[in-house]
Amino acid sequence: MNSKFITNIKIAWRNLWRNKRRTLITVSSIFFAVFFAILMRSFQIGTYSHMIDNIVTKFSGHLQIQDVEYLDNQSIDYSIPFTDSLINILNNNTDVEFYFPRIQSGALSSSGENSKFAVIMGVDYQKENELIDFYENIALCFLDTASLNSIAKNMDQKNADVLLKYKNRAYSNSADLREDLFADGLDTSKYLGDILNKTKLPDIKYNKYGQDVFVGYKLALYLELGIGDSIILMGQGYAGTTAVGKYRIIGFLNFPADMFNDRFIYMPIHTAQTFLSAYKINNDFDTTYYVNYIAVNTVYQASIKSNDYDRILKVKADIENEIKNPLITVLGWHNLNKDLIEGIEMDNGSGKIMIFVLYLIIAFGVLGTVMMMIAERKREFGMMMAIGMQRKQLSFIVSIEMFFMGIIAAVLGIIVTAPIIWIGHNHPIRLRGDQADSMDMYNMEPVLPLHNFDTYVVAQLAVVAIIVAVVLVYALLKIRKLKVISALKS
Amino acid sequence: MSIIEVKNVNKIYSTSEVKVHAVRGVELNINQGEFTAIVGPSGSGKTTLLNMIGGLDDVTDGNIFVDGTDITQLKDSQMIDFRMKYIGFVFQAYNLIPVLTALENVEFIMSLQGVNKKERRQRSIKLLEAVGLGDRINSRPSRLSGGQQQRVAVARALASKPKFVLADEPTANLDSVSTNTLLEIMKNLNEKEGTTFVFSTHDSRVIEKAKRVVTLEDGKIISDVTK
Repeated sequence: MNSKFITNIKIAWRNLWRNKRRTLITVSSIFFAVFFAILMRSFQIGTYSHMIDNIVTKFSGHLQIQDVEYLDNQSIDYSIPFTDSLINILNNNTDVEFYFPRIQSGALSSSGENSKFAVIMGVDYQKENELIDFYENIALCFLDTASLNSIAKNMDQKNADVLLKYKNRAYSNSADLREDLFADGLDTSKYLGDILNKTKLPDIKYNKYGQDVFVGYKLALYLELGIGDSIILMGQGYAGTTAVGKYRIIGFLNFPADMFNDRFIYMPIHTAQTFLSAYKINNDFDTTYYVNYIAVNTVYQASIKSNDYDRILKVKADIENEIKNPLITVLGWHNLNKDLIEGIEMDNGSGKIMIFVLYLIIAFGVLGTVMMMIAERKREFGMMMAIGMQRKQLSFIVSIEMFFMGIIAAVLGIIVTAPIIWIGHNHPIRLRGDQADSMDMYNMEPVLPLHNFDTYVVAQLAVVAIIVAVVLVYALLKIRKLKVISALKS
Repeated sequence: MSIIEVKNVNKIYSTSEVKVHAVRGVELNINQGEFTAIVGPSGSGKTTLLNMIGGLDDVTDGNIFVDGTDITQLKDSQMIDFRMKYIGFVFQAYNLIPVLTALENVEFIMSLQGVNKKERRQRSIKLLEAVGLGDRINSRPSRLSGGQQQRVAVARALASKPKFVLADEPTANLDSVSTNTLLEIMKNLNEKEGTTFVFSTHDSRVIEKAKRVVTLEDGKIISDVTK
């Protein structure tokens, strides 16, 4: 190798260690930039991925097959026929992991003198259960006023006061009930059995094609309905028909979000299609049923990583090509979750601003030490040029020094962040209390996972490289403008 | 034969308020093998003249020929290259590269010239032995005394086989023992190898050893005595 090159490398390397403190400051500045930037991005991307994966996979699906008008006008009239050919297309596509048809519409629910708007959800219970643990949201017990009063009569005042605070609440399992009561100071070891016995809801078998419905417990409370009672639903069905029906309540729904408990009524998809007249009788033996949309989950992951989204887009194109119906469209999750995307983009933007500020501070730190270094070594630079070193060689030495510092800091940054990210990815931080409850409301696992090492690390390293390069430009400009005689006198 | 020809050189330092005429119409020829001291009181222009001869500073007016080349016409990179090939420098403050050993400092200029490793090494050791530092070749400047550093600087100045060596007050920071040692070394190199030395100094010990003494005052040569 060229001896001049080796000498320059040798000088650059030794220069790093002649003023260890300065090198340490520069390397530390870059190291902390790498460390915090990677951790922050890992946390951000991890949280977004978790959120997207939960919301998209469990609610909208990676793709939705629907009428071309449905996205803008979510009316029952823009339903699509759920045909065997459509089912075959989905079943035969190896990239499709799971699909779930849904039909939904608004209706007036009533009982006796009371009535209230309700959202009718026609679903396949089994598939909903696989997605959102639907059955776990069916209330096990309902703490109605009459039952609580009768239990409280046999309690001391303190326990009775605690219990009566729980009027008109529903619980899907005894563990949650025990946890809440215990936290409030009720003697659960003594009273829980009695409470459960007296508030437990009857277990009624339901028929997949029957007139049985699950009603949000708050809606049932408003309508003063119990299990086994009938509820009247009235609304507009498909193609202007009147939808009227009388259904038996076989369970209360207790979703984490009260919005659902207030107005949702779940029924088997066939029951909803019949209620809404969402079908077409082709002949005595053949009826085509309609759905609002078919949500499709692919074998890929819904994430903001572009390669995954591209794969999902390919599945979308494949399905569209096979359907060949200009009135039916296949939408990707980005189109279906615009609010979510906008929210993430806003948050991502603010996160990027924070990282930018971090980088800016670090950049000025690095610039400061480099300015100090240039000032300290000005005479040495002058001497080197005096005895015959060209400016470009001098620039090369300083560039190599900066390169060494950047590499050392980047490698250290990766070495230190890698295990933290590995742990945070495989054993995410588990949220508790209100934060956990708010994530529970959306059926999301209350965790904050870190995103595993990925292209974002390269992006952060690239930014650090740019910072080093920009600072280096300053140093090189100084060398370019250096006057030998004034440098020697400095 | 003149190795250095200074022809009617002027140097004016201008600030917004004053103009300082540091060198005024200097005419000077220095021949191969001379051992010349440029002397004069502080501010007489001796360092400025030396810097201009070495191409470290620009002339305001006039020409300087080194080995027949008018160095005032050279561009920055050509001048750097010219210095590397033709001129050896010894600075008052030694100015060695602190991260290189004595041997590497001497080798450094030869690596700039593209001399092969074996030749570099042999010549550097020889030069360091010549300046009495054969046993300190692996010491870094911080481990050497001022006198030893200046001797390394002399070895470095000679490493590139220059046409002449410019030494700007080389003994200013040295004690008398180191000064005498350094002067003996340079004198020997001058007498035995025929190396041309040009000093700026006001050290009487250096002036005593010089074969030719050029005296400057207010930027003008007022005497030029060859012993």
